[in-house]
Amino acid sequence: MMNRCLGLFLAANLLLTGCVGYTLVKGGQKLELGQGLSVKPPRDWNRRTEGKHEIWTLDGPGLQYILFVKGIEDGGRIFPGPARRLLAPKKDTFPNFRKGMSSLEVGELFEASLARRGAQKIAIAGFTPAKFGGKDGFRFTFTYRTTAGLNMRGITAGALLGDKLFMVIYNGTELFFFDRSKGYFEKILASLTII
Amino acid sequence: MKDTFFPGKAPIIFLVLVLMLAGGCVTTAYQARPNLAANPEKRRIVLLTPDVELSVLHAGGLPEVNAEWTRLAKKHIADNLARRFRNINAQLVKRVEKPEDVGRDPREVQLLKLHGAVGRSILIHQYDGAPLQLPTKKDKFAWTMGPDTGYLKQKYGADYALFVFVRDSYTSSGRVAAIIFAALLGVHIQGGIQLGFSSLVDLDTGEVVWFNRLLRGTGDLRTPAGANETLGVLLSNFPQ
Amino acid sequence: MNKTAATIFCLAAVLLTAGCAGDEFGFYKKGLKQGQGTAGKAKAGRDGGDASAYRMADLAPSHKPDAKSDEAGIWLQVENVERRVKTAGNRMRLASLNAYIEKVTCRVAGTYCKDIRVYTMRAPGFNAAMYPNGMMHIRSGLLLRVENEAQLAAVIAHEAGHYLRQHGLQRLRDIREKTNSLLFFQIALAGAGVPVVGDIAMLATLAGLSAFSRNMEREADGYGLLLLSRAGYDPGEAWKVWQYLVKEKKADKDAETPSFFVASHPQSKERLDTLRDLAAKMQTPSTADKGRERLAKVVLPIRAGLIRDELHLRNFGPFEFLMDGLIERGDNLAELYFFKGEMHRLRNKKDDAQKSLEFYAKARKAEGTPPPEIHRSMGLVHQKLGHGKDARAAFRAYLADNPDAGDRAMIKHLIGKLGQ
Repeated sequence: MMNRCLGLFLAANLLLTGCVGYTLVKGGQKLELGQGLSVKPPRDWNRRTEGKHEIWTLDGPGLQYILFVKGIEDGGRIFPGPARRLLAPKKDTFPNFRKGMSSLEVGELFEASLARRGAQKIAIAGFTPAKFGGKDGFRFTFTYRTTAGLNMRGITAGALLGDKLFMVIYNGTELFFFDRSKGYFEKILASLTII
Repeated sequence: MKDTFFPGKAPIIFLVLVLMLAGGCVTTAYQARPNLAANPEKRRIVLLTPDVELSVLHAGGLPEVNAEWTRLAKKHIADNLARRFRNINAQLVKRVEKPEDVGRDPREVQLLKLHGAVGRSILIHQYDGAPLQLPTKKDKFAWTMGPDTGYLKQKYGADYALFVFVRDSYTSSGRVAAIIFAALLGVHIQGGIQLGFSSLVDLDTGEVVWFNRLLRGTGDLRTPAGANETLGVLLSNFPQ
Repeated sequence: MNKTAATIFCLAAVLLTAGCAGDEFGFYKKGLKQGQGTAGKAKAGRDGGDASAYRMADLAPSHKPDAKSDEAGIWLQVENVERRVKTAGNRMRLASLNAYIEKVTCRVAGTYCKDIRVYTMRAPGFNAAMYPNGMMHIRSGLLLRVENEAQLAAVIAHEAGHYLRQHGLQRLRDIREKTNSLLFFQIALAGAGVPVVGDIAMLATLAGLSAFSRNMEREADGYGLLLLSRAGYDPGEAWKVWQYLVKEKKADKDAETPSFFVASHPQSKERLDTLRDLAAKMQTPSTADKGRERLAKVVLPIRAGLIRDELHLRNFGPFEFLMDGLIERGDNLAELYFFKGEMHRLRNKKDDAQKSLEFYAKARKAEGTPPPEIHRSMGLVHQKLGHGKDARAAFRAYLADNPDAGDRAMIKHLIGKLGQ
């Protein structure tokens, strides 16, 4: 019972104060993202950062987004979670990145992470080695349906460098929004450099 | 799992809070175009399932949906819209969805869900003062669902789609008594709230040509006159 | 929200959720008395008496609420929910499964067959919920945790009991009563200078304080057994479902919070004993239906996907418990050994890698068919352990079995890399 109480108290707190706003990313300029990453977007975007995660969007993340995962380490998550945990859990059973994972295992981690966020009918395809900021990495496409029933498509690019995982994930609604900004995503990805 | 990083899937209560935080105006309408199509034969507007619930607010604040009021409100809204549209030389196309038809047309289902997602995005990311306003959206109104909406144009014989969402609560006598009692102690407690939003989509292009949100403490959808007043506010700046 | 406000809210929330603490068996007896009507007295005692005396009270088949009632308003709200559920992404649409569930529900519900609509929602774990308008949700994870059709029917019958006795409606009315009485408490505090937290009721409903009271659960148990028995199922199967959940909970030693279902359904020993005793008194013929094969026929084709859902939770204690239970039942052991291998591979502690290889080997020898990605898993483990040759062989076998695999380019690349 107390858990629920605290949960509600913190949830209300989060709703009222926890939102970090969006800032503008100017197109045509190189932008340092931290953790050795930089990109040069072809046009203006909106951006929000939270630790090692960064989300870009044009129309709102419910419609399309680019998620930058900037060198998460052992125990880290692909998708950013709630700002604060309600209680310190005795153990964390959320799918986490583990040092020493291979790219195929990262693909599994991606699928499990999506599933834990409510995605249904997840399918991964076109899993292939690819350059990531000039370094050896991987790439795959994916589709799923949200709990609400909206179909989604996406592309993931990433690399395992040292003990860290870097990813750039593009996600958009199957109807219209994925196709609309796919070109921008590819340009941003092509412009990506990593030290 | 709820999180603040992807609030696109926020439940309605989050939206209410966002609206209240954004504060300021009772109603703020965005208009991408001042007029509907010039051709009188291309001014057909289909009303997509009005999502309306009227509740009575009990003394303790628990809202209880009143089916009879809701049924009346839906009727008044449809009647009033038909009249308003006739006045601007447009036609209201009614869409009746039987329970057994839900989900039968997967293409339509995806379009309607996409519309819901676009509407939520507008509410969360467009308005000045909203904590998650997108800088690229500021000082303009440019939203679209994409041209797949042509499917709905064909299906309903309409050029535009109107979406209406209303949650309206009315104070019970117990609540009124409580409000008076509290006021005597110098305490403010909430009376009824009228919350709504509405959007008009051009079914040729998928463009959202008009959008409005409404949040206020007055308004009565239970009578034709009340519905007329509420719709006057909800449809402010509607293209002519 | 400041601390005092939070305390007030919590106090209010606690008051709202306190169910009737009274005599547990009294509630069974009360239900019986109603059931008996004018005929005789209920047998007092620990077992709650003769369950066959329950009558299907208060709700007629094809019930629709009076248009002007509060019940009509609730149905309207739930109908909105049901409309969304129909096209929800997590609603299972498999025709064979849905037809089967509908058949079982109809058998259990009898004359109320047309009033209850069951939706199977895709998610791991055990859950079942009844809504006031006849909509029922069961979670797909439940299908892994019932041994036979009678146990599935027991869950459906229990939930149907909630519907027949209108517990949902009663509960909402209770909350309204309680929040009304709390209002003046709230105002008095506000008047004393403590800032108003916001409508207690709104926050209470936000917190989802809509679990049925414990006595409602007991009443649903009683009606459930009766429906089960009348439908020709063995009512002695009902208590086994709840017992399984108790054991599964024990296997999850570090659980942060119990699942909502477990928390809202009393799992006390006397509840299990009561279910058992009541069933024993029902004089069920030995030929009473359990339906093990009929359930297996529907679940086995989709079982791998359901197990994968469970594995996504990465909660290995209860997962192992679940797997060991399924292994005991013995259907398609190859598939089950494969998933035990997956468990070890994903847990990846100490000697898990070696254990996973042992299970994959066992899966390949066992009765049944392991999922086609078994060789990929073997390849991944061999790769981790540095067995280059074995890894290549496994990946090649995977490609041979899965020429259209979504990751074939990456696997080919790996085979090449491991060859160096």
